[in-house]
Amino acid sequence: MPEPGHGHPLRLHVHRCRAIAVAVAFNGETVNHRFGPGTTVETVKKWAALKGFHMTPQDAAEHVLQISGTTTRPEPDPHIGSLVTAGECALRFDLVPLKRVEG
Amino acid sequence: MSEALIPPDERVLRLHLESGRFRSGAAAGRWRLAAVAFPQVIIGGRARDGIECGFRFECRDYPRTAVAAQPWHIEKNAPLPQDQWPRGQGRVALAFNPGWKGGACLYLPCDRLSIEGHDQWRNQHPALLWDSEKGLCKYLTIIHELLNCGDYGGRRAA
Repeated sequence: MPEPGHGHPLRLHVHRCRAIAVAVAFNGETVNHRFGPGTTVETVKKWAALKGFHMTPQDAAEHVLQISGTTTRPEPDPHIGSLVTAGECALRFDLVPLKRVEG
Repeated sequence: MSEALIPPDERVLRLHLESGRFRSGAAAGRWRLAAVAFPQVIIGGRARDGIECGFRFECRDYPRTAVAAQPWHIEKNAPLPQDQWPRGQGRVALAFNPGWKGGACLYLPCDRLSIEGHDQWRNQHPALLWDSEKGLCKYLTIIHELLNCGDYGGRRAA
C-alpha cells in the first residue's frame, strides 16, 4: 500500500453502508445526522456536542459518546462503520458527562 | 526465550502492545511504549501541554486481572516525584492523587489497587472498569482523556 504523504498511518475503510444514520441523545433531546462510515467517533461527538446541542468547547470536552442502552464508550479513533451491527446502517448514542471518581 | 516458554499473561500483553489499537494510539501521539520488562511495562502518556507523563504498569496475570499504573519518571526509571504529578482541580486531581496508596497507583476504577474496597464503582462508573478484552489500551485511553481535558493544569510544581 502506498505511504500517505502526510506521514500519519493510512486508514483504509471498506464498508457496505454508504452512509450511517446517527442519532445522539442528550438531556431529553435527540439530534440526527448521516455520516460516512469512515467518520471517527470523535468527529461525531464534536458534531453532536457543538453543532447539535450548541455546547461550548469546554463543555463538549467534558462529554463523551456512549452506545445507547450500554455502558460502552467507544474510543475516539475508530470509524463509526466498525460499530454498526450486521444488517444495520444506523447507530444510536447517548452524550454523557464525564463524572468525577470519588468515594 | 522461545515462544512456547513465554507465560500466557506476558504473551497476551505483548500481543496487545502489537495490536492495531495500541499502535493507532501511539501513531496518534497519545502514548509511547518506553520499555517492557514483564510483568512491568513503562509507557509515556502525552498531555495537552506537550508534557509526557510516564506510567509503570504492573501486569501480572494480564489481562484477567486489572493492571496498576504508577506515575513514573521514565529517564530515571523511578517513581515520579509528587511535584511532577499532573494537577487539576476536579477529575484530574482526584485521579492523580500522590497521597493515595503512597503514590503506587491512580485513583481509577480500572486500576488493580484502587478498585479494592470500591465495589460501588462497579455501578457508579461501569465505563471506567477494567476490560480484559481492551486491556491496557482502555486504561491508556482513560489516562489520555484526563491529561487532555480542561481540568488538566500542568504539573503540581509548575
